[in-house]
Amino acid sequence: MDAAGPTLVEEPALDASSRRTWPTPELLALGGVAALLLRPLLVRAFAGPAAQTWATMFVSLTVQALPFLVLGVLVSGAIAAFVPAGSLARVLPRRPSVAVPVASLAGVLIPGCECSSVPVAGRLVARGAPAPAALAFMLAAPALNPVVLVATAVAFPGRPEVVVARFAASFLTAVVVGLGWARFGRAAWTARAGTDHRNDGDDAVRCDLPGPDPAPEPATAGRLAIFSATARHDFGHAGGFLVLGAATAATLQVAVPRSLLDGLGGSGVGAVVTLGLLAVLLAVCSEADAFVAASLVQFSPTARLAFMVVGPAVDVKLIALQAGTFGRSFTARFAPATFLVAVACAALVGGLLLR
Amino acid sequence: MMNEDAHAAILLALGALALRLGLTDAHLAYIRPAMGPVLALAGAVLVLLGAGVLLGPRHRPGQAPNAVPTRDGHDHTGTSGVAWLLVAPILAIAVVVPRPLGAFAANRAAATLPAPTRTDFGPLPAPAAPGDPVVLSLKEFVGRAVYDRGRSLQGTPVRLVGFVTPDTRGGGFLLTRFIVTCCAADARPLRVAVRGLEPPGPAADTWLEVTGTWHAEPRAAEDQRPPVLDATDVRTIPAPTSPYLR
Repeated sequence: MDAAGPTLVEEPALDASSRRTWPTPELLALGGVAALLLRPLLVRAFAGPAAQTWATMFVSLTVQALPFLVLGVLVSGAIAAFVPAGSLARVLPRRPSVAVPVASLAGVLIPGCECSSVPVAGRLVARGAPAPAALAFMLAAPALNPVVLVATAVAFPGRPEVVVARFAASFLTAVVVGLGWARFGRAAWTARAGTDHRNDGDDAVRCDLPGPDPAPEPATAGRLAIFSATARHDFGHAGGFLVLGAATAATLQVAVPRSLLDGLGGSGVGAVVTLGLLAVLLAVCSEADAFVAASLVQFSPTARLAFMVVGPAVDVKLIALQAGTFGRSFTARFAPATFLVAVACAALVGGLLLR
Repeated sequence: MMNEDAHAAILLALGALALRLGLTDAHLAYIRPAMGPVLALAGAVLVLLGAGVLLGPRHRPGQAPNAVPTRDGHDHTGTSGVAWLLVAPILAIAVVVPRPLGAFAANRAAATLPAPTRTDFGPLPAPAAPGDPVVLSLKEFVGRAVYDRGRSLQGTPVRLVGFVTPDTRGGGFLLTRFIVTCCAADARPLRVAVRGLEPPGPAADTWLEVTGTWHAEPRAAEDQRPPVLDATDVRTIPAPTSPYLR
């Protein structure tokens, strides 16, 4: 205990945890008993068709995103443990006009769902990568990877121009948002992901991602500990926000039925914005959105393109994840800006390619 | 901040549930079949991450608590309180056990037909025995009725499987099946209007095997009404293990 003494004084978190060394079995037992007692109540509460549909949507969205989120936090943990601090900033081109397109193209090569690219982008910023490049990567990876493009080709058979238009509009969106962030963005807005977490006391939901402070290189055992601690921490954090996003999307799916669209349709700017908003509300994953878009036959091809370009970039699930990773002041600016850019890019590319 | 052990226990529970969902048929109500093993793998990773803390050195008697020093110098033994939200999917999966989407969701989906996923329809497959109806998936039937202009369906008895959605527009009911690409959130219903049965029709969400012939009628290209089946025989069946089509 003598050796551990000073550590305990210095680390209040450890002091607290030493007082509750074994709360877990009690917690688990308590939780189990509570779940058993509440079971009939919960089952009855979710017996109605609307609540049942909500629960199915909620579990589906969560379970579908889970593997991608796990992949994302493992990559995030690996970056934290094995990529030396500052090396990303040295390797990546300094000038945003080069770094942003390069990062967007890197997104094409890495097949990631939107749920993995958010924690990875957050970790890249935390390790000193320039924010515009990391954000461009975050937007490009889920929209431009081969799996999504093949799915789009399958959903629109005999119409390769839709795949080309999707690629062009999403790439343009990533580059424009990245360059726009380089031009107008402030470092403080992404500071949550990158710097000392003790400074952002104004934010209610805080994230203590490790910062890029230089420190002695740890040994292999230390690296593994950092890897698993980072992965665990990121999963708890991003997973919590994913649950929030999935619950919101499930609520909107039940509350805003697609049958509302039956009376709508058309081809003007209104249709493009409508389907862009629908993509935000439904939070369909990027591998599947082409099939949903293909079924929205009463809308113009450009409006359906907007659905596919907006969805992987900004939807209620992603907004929650991004708010959790980068903070609310970031998301409040990034999400609307990305939405506008994505709709504009879809309208532009659709007008040129989809006639 | 959240107790590290509680956080690890939540990861362990969620991982174990994901592992079970992925390894059994239970995931078929929520996600596409191919994702089952991937979900199980993700669950195993979460179990390892959680168990690593609970069985880790800190809990072995006689050892000093191990701080995990990170490069930024502060210890990562705590997790933000938002991780408590992960209890919600645990309760939903283990206690509520939501059923696959049914008539309620189908009624609220857009009334549009699915887009064609192919344009060349060959002749119908041969029936199991001569004189038997041809067993078709609802997707195959709707695709042929709408985009093959019914040519290959003309006059041939077919057998379809789906669940009942009450038809608010015409008589009879809609035999329905969802197409799911990734998860239930992207489900699009396929519908066939079943005619020729005397009321009352079967209750909503009942799974049926319906035999009949395509009701040949000319369709306009933009017609979004479901194709019609003149039924000759209806049989109640148990819900299939895999409720969605791809």
